[in-house]
Amino acid sequence: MLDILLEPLQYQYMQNAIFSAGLVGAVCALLSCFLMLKGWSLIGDALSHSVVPGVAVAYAIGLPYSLGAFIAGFLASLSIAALRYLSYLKEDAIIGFIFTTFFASGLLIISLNPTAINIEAIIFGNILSVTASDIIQIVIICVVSFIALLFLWKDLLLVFFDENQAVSVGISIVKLKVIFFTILSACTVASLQTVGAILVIALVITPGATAYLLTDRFEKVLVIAVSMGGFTSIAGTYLSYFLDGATGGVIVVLQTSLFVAAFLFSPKYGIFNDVFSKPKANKKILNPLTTEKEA
Amino acid sequence: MKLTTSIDVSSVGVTYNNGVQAITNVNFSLAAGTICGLVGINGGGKSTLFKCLMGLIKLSEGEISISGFPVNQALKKNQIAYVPQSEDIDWNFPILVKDVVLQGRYSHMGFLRKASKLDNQVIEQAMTKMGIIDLKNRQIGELSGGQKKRVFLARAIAQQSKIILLDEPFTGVDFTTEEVIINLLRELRDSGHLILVSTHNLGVVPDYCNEVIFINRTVIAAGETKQTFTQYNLEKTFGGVLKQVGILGQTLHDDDDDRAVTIISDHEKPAVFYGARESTDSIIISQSSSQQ
Repeated sequence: MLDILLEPLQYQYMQNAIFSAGLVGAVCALLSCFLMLKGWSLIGDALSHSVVPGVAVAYAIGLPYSLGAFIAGFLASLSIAALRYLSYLKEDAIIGFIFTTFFASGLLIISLNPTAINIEAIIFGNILSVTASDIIQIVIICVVSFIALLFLWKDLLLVFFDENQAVSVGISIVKLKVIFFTILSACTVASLQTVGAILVIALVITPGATAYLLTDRFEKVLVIAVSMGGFTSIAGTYLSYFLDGATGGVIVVLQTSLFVAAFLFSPKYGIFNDVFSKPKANKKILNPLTTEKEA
Repeated sequence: MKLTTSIDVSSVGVTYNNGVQAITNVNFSLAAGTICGLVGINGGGKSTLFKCLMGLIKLSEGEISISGFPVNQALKKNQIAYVPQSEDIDWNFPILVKDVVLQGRYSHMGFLRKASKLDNQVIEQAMTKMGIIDLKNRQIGELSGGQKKRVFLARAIAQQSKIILLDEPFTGVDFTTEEVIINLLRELRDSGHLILVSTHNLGVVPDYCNEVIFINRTVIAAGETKQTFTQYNLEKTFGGVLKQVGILGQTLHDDDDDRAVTIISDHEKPAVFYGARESTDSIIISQSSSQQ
């Protein structure tokens, strides 16, 4: 029995996969907490799709794919910021417009200039093909991002909470935002291989969303989200060996089931808890329900 | 280093990207020991002016000097504290009352923003002063309107800046909190702070502001409240936007006295004038009881 359970760990490719998935899952989870604060979760979505043309061009001219992806992601963030500043369009329209534009141009480049690049590998990821040099890349990106966020999380929190106060205590908002989006772009690139451009969205949304249901303190949100992101990514990769299913799919399904559990049973905001616990806690949730019925 | 607390705004104008001229040729100077009311209609440039003072938008013309320094340097020297409008805050934010107050201490902390013993002492004092010490471990969204406002006042006190900007501090607060705020502002003024309050609450302006600035794209009038807070200036600033009720002399008394009562209100506590109508020198006789 133990032999069977340990079997996946005997293969180098599984070790690589589990290690890189855990790292990427944890860092993306950390980012998800910040994105959630501002309602920026869809920016993660936009970024992950926007890196596709970067990868295509990088392959075509023989640069490391992560460099191309990073540049494309960064350009996408810049275009979103610039359009928001210069136009009256709402944010969702801008984000949707930018990411489809980038994604489409990526597909166009690949179809016009077929290379060794496998479009499926970008969109859906292929964690089992992670090589030693990929791992070095992932480790560098994740560790640098992690350390930067560890130093800056209080300042970032303040910028996201109250920009005026951030300015008044001498923090440079623009500098912090640029750092944040650089980290976000870099981590999106790192996650491409693990779960692919589509499912990375889940990695930068679900852990933060789940942690929010469980606590009111940002420090705890961070800890819960990171543990959850790391754990589900490791467990998902491991399980995918036995299920023989897409790794990204298993990871995201695991995260979703944790989210559902928190949604139903969270001590503070869980649905069951509010309906069936003390009347005092009931009041808060039942009032909006009754007004809704009346309306 | 000892700084002389002051705000000097000279010929400031802001034109937004879309060509809208928000403010133009704004001039005023304020010194320590002042509570100044910034009064004007919505869209009249109050928030634009605040953003200028915080260095959040670029001036198209003119310059602002805070305690003798350009805005960005003054901010680095912890010269300005800011109390935001309640509607600018996301109350679902996963943050506790004491963490918000602690944000006022960031300029006193090192790179990692680790709170020292002194920082913790200062925030405890500030929260005690504002009567929210018992709420310090609550998430901010769980508080009432007045309590919420007190959290941000406590943060401003903890910051220990000499200049405090308050954006609509009386919107959505109860009367006890209103009094707490006014008393606090007086106390801060007496200890040499410079306080700039943007407000709709016309009636209380003469209660606590010793100076007032009327703004509608440019400064309509500025100076000591006694001379400046007049019916004439209010009407000039607000045009037809205010609710105005006039009770004429003949209704009030049976003699030749033609003085009338004029009640001018934006949303909240109205300003009441007694004297010849439309005159420049009418006097403020009282702040009427609130509309509630």
